[in-house]
Amino acid sequence: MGASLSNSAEGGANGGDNGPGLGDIPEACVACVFLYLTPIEICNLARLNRAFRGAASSDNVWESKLPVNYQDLLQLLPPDRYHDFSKKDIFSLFARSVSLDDDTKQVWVDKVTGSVCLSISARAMSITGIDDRRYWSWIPTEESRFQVVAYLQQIWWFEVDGAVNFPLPPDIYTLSFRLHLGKFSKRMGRRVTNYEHTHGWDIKPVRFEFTTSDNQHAISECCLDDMEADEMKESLKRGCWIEYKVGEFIVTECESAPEIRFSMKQIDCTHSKGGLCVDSVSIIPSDLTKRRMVSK
Amino acid sequence: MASSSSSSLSRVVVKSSDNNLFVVNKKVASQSQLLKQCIDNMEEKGTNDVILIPLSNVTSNILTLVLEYCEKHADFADDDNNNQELKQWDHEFLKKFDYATLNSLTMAADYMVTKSLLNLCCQFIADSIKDLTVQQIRQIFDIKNDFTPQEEADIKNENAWAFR
Repeated sequence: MGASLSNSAEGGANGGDNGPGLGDIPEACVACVFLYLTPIEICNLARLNRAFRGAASSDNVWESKLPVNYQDLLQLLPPDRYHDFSKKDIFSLFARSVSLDDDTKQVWVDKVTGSVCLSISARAMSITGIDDRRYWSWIPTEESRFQVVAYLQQIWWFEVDGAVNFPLPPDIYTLSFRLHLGKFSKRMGRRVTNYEHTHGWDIKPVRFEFTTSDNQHAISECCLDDMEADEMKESLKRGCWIEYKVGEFIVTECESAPEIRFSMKQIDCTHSKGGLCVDSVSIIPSDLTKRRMVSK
Repeated sequence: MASSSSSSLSRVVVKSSDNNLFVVNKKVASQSQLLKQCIDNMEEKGTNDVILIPLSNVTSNILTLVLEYCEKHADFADDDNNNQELKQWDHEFLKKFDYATLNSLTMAADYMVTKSLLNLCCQFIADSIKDLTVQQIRQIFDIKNDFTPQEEADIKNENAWAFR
C-alpha cells in the first residue's frame, strides 16, 4: 500500500486516540477520493502538502478524467508534442485547447467535466465569394479563438459550407454557428460597433443545416436581424456574438469519427444582405452546462 | 481435491488488532474480498475447522462498523446495486461519523478490500472537502504545509492552467 500521507508523528497510524487524520490516509485512498472530484478541485488540493501533490499527479486519477478516446485525440498531434507526458500533462494539454490543421480547428477538454469540445474556424470553410474584396474580408480580432473572422460587406448569394471528420467520444452534441451582426473595432481601448453595412437579414431567414455520415440530419431557420420597425431601439441581435444552434447529433461507440457536413445559406437573390461576421462552428456536448453545474 | 459441499464453511472468526474476536457468517464476510479470499483458500484445502482470520490493521471499533456495513449489504446482495433503501441506509450510516472515524473506516475498507464501502467513504470525504479552501482544510484536518517557497511557486505554475 502507498506511503502514509501523514506529516504527524510516525506511530499515528490506526491506534492513536484521535484516530488518523485526513493526512494519514494512504495515497491509494486519496487517489480514490480524487475520483469524485473535478480536475480543478484536484489541482487545488495538490497545494495541501507534498503527499497530496503526489496523489494529485497519479496516472490512475487522471486517466479517469480524460475522455475515453484520448488516445485517438493524441494521434492528431505530432508525437513530440506529448513525448514523456503523464496523464495529467495530457489532460492539461487538452484543457488549454489544441490547435489543429494550421489553426483552423481547435479541440479542448472541458476542465470541469472532461468533455470534448471542438471549434472550426471560418478559415476552414468554403465561403461563396470569399476571394472577392467587394464581398468578403478577413478581420483580425481577439474576440475569436482563431484570432480572425470573415466579414461580409454585402452579397446576394450568401453561402458558407464546411465539413469535419473528427474522433468524438460517444455523447450527444450540439452544432452551432457563431455569428456577429455588425462590424466591431477597438478605439481608444473601447469596443465600437458600426452597422453601416448591416442590412437584409430581417427579410428572410437564414437556413442552417448539417448531415452526418451516419445520416443524422438537422435544419433550423432564423432571421439574423429584427424587423426594421423598432429602429429606435438597439436590436438585441446586433453588436454581440450569438451561437445559432443548428441541431443535435449522437455519436455512438461504433461510429466514433463521423463526418459532419454543415452549411448556412440565404440565397434569395432578390435582395442583398451584409454587415455580418462569421467566426466559427462549434460542436459541444449538449448538456455541458448542466454537467458542469452537477460536478461543482 | 475435496468436494466443495463437504468442506464448505458457514462461519469464520475474525480477530481485530486489539485482539477481540468476531464470529461472522460467510455471506457477510464475502463482502470483503480479503476475507473471501481467505475463505476460498481454506475451502480449497478442504478444511472443515472454523478458521481464524487476524486483521492486524483494524481495531474492534472500526471492525464493528465494517461488519455492520457488510451485514446490511449481504442482505441486499441479490438485489441490483441501485436499491434506494440501501442507498438511504448508506447515507445515514456514514453521516453519524466524525472525520477521524471516517478516515479509519476508509483505511479499513481499503485494507479489507471492501470496494463499495471504500468508494462510499471516498465520495463522502470528497463531498465534504470540495468546497473548502486549502487553508480551511489544513486547519480542520491539521495538515501541515511542508512545501518550500520554491515548491509552492512550482505547484502554482504547474497547475495554473486549471484556474485560468
